[in-house]
Amino acid sequence: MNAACRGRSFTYSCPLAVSPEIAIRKGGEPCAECGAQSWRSRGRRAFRLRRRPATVCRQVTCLKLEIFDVMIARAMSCSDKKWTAVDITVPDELSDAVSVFCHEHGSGGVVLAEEGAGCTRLTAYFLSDRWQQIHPLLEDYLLRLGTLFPDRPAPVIRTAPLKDENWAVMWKDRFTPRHIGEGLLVTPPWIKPESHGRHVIVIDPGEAFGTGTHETTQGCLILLEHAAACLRQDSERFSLLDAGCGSGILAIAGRKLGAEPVLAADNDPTAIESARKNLRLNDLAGEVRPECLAVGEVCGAYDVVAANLDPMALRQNGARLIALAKRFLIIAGVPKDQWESVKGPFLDKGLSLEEEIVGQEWGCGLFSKSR
Amino acid sequence: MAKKVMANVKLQIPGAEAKPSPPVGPALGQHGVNIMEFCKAFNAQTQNQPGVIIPVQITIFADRSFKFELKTPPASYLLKKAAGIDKGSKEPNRDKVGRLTMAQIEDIAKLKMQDLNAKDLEGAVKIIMGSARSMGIEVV
Repeated sequence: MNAACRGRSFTYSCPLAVSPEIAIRKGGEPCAECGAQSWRSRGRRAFRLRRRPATVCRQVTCLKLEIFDVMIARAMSCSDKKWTAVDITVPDELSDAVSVFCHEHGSGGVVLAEEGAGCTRLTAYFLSDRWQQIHPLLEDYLLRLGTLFPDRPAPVIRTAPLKDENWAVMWKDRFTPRHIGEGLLVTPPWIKPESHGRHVIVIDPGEAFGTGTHETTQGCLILLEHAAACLRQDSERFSLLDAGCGSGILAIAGRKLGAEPVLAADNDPTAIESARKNLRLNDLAGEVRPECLAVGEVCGAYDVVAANLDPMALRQNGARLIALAKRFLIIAGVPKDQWESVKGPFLDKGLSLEEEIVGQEWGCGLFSKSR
Repeated sequence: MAKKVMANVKLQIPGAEAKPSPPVGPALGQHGVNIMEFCKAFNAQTQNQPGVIIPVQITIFADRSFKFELKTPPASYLLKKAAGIDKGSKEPNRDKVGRLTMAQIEDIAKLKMQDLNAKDLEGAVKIIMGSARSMGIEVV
């Protein structure tokens, strides 16, 4: 912790607060965000929540991440709650009013879905014992609303019990370490698998595409591995451009396979932020350059250009991608039924198709330029 | 990168107060989305509107990455502001709590047009008028 924070009783608003009081536990692991080694134990001391002060250092952010862990643990200990999922189908005109009613009676929000025929289905969740009190109030309210719109379909309520789950962490079950190609292993940060000689790529699944679970990403990684093996026969180092980097997974894999320098470019600032985070998780913060750039704004030439984009972007930027590539160009992100039409123009422009992977739904290819 | 949309989820949740419990947890958890990341990003973007119900559309891709877009405030919020009232009527068929002109309704309909399930402005006005009536606001 820096001097400004040391010894101060932290009081701030935690956006995920589940309780007006929180307890901070002793930290052990180095912080993934800033590398801070440990946190002083504050035992079970409780802090009153207040708005976060304007001058918050990075370490406080890290502390906040640790508090999330505590909150997850608290959520796990609250699994005896019983919820009732309430589906309310109403004419579109009434959806806002019913949403407000649910919010004012403690639902914490609603999920909306179009039902067709000018109706919306709202799903609200209430604790089951509370729902017993709210149910007659809601029926009465809907009845009154119904009298205002006698020519519209009457609102319909359906309920179903919902088991309390540890939603804060249950999504993590969907992400497991994956062996890809001959020597890559993609894992989420909360699992530390045995590498067995593979290059471990840590990706925190979030707002940017490229978590390692998708066919296109996996195909790109395999082709990148093959391109790297070919280039390493001539030289230890080769340069790489990850065009449309998303989470930065290809740039990270390329760096681990020996690429240097590496540029990770994407025109989406959220993707660049995500790539930066994943670079830190892989201890590559200074070794790969993430830049918020469109393909057309990238300058220079790279031994390998990996472009996991979409058919339209590949058609529009085809000439530029070819100009940027010195030896190999990987194109991916193309649905199987469009693969032939997308790869055609690249072959017409003098590139040779070294290898292609056409999976269940997607196609990708490794093209080479004559030297 | 290539993106295949797996699901679209529409929520209305209070600004700066998203948390992993319902409705966010069950709505996103079933698609394997990083719920904590969504909550943090949503709360950061809505920190200036604490407690205000914010419509948000979350697009979930095949690799369970996601993006979200904040929508215009609900019609009920805009109607209450325009009518200068804090709450709608609990008995909208009997107790009227406010009054708006047709021009004000049209202004709100234009603002909400992009997010409404309406084909044209006339349809949007109809929905907004319906929302006003359901809150006990008269349109004159």
